[in-house]
Amino acid sequence: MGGFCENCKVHIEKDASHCPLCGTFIEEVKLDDKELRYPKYKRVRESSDSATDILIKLGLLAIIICVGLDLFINGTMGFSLYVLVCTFYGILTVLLPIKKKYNLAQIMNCVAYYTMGLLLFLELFTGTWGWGVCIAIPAIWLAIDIVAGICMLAFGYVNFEMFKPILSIAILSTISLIFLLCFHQPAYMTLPTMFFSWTEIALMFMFRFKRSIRSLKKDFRL
Amino acid sequence: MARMKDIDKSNEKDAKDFKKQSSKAERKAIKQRAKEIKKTLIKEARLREKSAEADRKIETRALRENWYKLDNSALIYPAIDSSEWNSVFRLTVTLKEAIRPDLLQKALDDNMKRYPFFNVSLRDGLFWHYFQSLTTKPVIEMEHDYPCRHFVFDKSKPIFRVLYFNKTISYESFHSLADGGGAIQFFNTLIVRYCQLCGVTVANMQKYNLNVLDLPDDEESEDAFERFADGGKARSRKEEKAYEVTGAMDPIQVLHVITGRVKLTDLKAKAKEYSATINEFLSAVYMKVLIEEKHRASRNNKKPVKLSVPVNLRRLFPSRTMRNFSQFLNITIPVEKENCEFKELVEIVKEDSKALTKEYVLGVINANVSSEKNFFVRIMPLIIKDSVLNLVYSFVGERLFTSTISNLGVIKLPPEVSEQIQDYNALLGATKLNRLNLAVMSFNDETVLTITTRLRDRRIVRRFFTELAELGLSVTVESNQEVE
Repeated sequence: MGGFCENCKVHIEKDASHCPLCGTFIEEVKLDDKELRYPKYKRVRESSDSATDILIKLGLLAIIICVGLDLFINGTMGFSLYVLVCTFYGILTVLLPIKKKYNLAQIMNCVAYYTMGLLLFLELFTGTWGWGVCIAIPAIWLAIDIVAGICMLAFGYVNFEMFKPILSIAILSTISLIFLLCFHQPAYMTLPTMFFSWTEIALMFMFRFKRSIRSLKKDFRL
Repeated sequence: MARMKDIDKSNEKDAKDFKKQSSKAERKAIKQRAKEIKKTLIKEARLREKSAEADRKIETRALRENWYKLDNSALIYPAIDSSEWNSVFRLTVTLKEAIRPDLLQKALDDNMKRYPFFNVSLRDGLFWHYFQSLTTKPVIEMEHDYPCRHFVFDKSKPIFRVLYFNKTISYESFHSLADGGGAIQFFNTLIVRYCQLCGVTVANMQKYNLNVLDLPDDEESEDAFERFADGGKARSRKEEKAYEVTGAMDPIQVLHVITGRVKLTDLKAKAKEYSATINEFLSAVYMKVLIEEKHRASRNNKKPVKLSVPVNLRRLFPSRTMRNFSQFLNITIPVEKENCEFKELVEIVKEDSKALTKEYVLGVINANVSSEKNFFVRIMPLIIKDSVLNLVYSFVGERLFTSTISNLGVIKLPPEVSEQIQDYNALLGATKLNRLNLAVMSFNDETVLTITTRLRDRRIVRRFFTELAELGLSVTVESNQEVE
């Protein structure tokens, strides 16, 4: 045991020259590096906001200003809701993946889900269930499927990660197709998307994932 | 005669020739045999190598295909993880001799055979996170950073690390992998093995269940929450928000560790004076300090001071799991009782602690497990599940308590190993919102109280240890940083 701090009424360990609680000088201590209990830490600087942080904050500020102006001038939320949803879409699909260092497969997954959310909202808001559900959403899914397929074929980027967005799209397009057929809506874009994604999955199983069937269980642990 | 001599000579020559020939033939045969033996040996060696390689491949494939699901309470930690912070805790042992890295690595390798379910990486599935067994061995690291450094989830790295520095060995773990109870068993086995490799003979090993030669058991990696949930009545999670300590903080990578040491027998006697357990007594002292801080900051704050106390559920439910199996109990001091005497504070804490009955815990477990089993939750893609959980946690999560006090109890190690240890310590990493946490652990008649904080000001920490000293306990303090 080292000294005693009269201020704090506590004993100080022998390897400390100051009281760790109030900083009062106790006694001179000379310690060998091999006797230290904690390493000498490098000084950590306050991390400044990265570009993505600034953009996220700007996006949120834009939402607040637009909602405020909209409510103040028009007394409605008509215009600002578009801004709100589109800004959130931008944050979730572009800025957040950059900030969290997502890989290509994760970004594709984000785009697939959040695009569906955005377009469904726009359709709901405008009250027209037309091109968004029938064309835009499946077109983006199809584009993701094609990119995933090209990545796998051209760059040998074949792993279980890439399987996730394709499987997501296959499931989403199948559900979407059922809904479209139930509501007598044209499914000329959803059908090929569904066909394409399931074909990709089948091909992946045939050529690459024979052994990964067991590992699929982890994902289907519903 | 001459002819006879000639005949003899020729006979001798023949004999010599025969000998020569026979020795040549023998030598040839021997050489050939040696060659054959060499060939068969090489063949056998190659076969052995091939079969070993095949075994390795099978083992690697089996490990690759081997995965574990996260237990119910572990699901929250990956969801709330950020690019700079995740939930990490640490156990540290200071030995009397300097650490030998080669032996520590060997001890860790042996330990991984005993606890293979610790050698896992955290992966994202389509619907849930999962643990994937690793084929590579974890490697010890020399410590040079602040404790409880952020874990970057790498596919090829485990979610725990073993660090060494001079005489200390530390174990840091991401909270999804194990709780304090499981981590202590893993770490104690490692320490015992390390001491054995250093030449310490441990008698009566079976008594402590810390033998690396024991076989792994499935029960040790089970989700005990799922096992004990009976589908009965679920408890409501509604709770009042708590007072939050405020103050200037250091960057998220910085963690101030202030350790206070008290004699266990003295602390026990002091707690007994108030007819309380050590945990109840320390909780009351901590509460008192936090209430003082609240009054100092703002008297009008209507939010109560609440302390989160993790309770080891292995005491209530018979499980040998090393994954998470603890439940948080929030102790609340009502705002109107904040000015009461210390004795009354202890009584309130004691009363609140009594609430943690088996029925209460079962209600909470049922609520949590039923949420996990909900059909809509199950079919929700992970990316959305994580976003929702993160949002809920930032609005509710840590806002329900002011600070945490985690008592890991008394550490029991074989006496031969205890003799080698100078001190044993536990500490909680920084939490996302709350400014400070307290971990308590007892070893060799010494209780170690460790406060971890990112607050620049040490007023609360100072008040806590001074309060203990004023109550008549002899406290010895140390810190990982000099006060500027």
